[in-house]
Amino acid sequence: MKLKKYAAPFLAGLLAAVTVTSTASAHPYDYWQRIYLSKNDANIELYVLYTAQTELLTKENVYDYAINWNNISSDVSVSVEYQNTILPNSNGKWIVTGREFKNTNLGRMNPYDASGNLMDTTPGVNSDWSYVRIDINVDAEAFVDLKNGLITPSKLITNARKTFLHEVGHALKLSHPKQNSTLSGHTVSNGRPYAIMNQGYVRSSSEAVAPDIAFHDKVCLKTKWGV
Amino acid sequence: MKRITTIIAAFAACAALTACSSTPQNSDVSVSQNTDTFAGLKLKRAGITDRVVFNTLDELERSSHIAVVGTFINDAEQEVDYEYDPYFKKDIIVDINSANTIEVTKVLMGDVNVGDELKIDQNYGIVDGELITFSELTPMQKGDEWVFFLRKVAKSDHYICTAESDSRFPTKSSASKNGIMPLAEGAELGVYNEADFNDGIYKEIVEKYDV
Repeated sequence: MKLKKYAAPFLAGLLAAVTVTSTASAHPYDYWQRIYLSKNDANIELYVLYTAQTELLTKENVYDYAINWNNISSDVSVSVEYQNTILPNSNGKWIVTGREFKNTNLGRMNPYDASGNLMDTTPGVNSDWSYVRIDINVDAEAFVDLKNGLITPSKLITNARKTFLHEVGHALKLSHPKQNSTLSGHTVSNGRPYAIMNQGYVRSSSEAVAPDIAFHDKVCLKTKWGV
Repeated sequence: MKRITTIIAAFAACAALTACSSTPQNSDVSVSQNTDTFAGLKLKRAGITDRVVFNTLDELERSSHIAVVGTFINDAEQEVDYEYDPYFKKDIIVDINSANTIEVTKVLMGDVNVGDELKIDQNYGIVDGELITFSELTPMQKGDEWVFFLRKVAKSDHYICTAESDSRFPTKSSASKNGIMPLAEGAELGVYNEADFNDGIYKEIVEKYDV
């Protein structure tokens, strides 16, 4: 039948169009090039130390959400385990640890080479990472946004969770979107895309920081690792 | 956690920059904080952060304890933090801070006086011939003058720039006073990348404070 004859090419074209469209808003420096040493694609296994687990930063409120990065790209898989012994036993997994930053950092991702040396994360400097370590600020006050009205536990959790997902995004080699209104999809806050990979607190949806993985983040992830 | 502290003092032309390392036996080696020093180093911008971001001067002022114009006057005291990492099963560098002393030359906001000396922590240090930085801001060099919006560090008498490149800016005199940072494209602005300079807040500062 004619419909069957044309269905396959139509669907292929539709898929190509969707793919092209979905990758259209990823731009240079939205992600680092290269991959990791001794890892297949982006299969990330995280190990959350006791130091990262606080009254605010809990498995249920924050860390279990790492799996939100799954089911976007078929080459990306994120899993989380938790320290449950006195001495950490990470078995080669990447560490999530707590830190009292002196400054107003909410979280930080540090990549290392195979010898344990810090690696350069300058935009445009691309290399294979051997290991990634995520530090999360354990001071709950760091997640208090004085400009977002009444401070509630829900808002603290939203900001803490956003920071952790943001850092996992860095571990997946996504970087901060550039502020440039000429770039496609950069339509909020004077030239940013709505994305979890923006820095800062979650506020209204008219501002750039998304509380969860947003369309721009997914496009960048797929552009980096494949659909 | 193991912490290595190095006093970065004013000796000209440290001949062996590689000796200016954080190994325990070299804890008192000195490095002068001037253009020549940084010209000899390899830059490594380590880590990438999620941090508080400010879009207006009003936001910045609300989150800052003081705002001053100040000149960097003294040697920097560097602390390198090592922690045991179960992946490598050894100590690795997890953080580096340098405490820079400034003399306040003008008060814009807050309980502070002209002539006060303040210690400002910045997230960078020199290790084994490398300038390792977690900060968007370039290191300060002696004689540098900047506008600072600062917060007190908890449990310390030190300050930090409230929000990285949203909180340290050049003055009208900076271009003629400040050392040229050879490792940064945005050296006159005090940032490694010009894209990180918060031009919006800077214009508000100039209009409000005429600095």
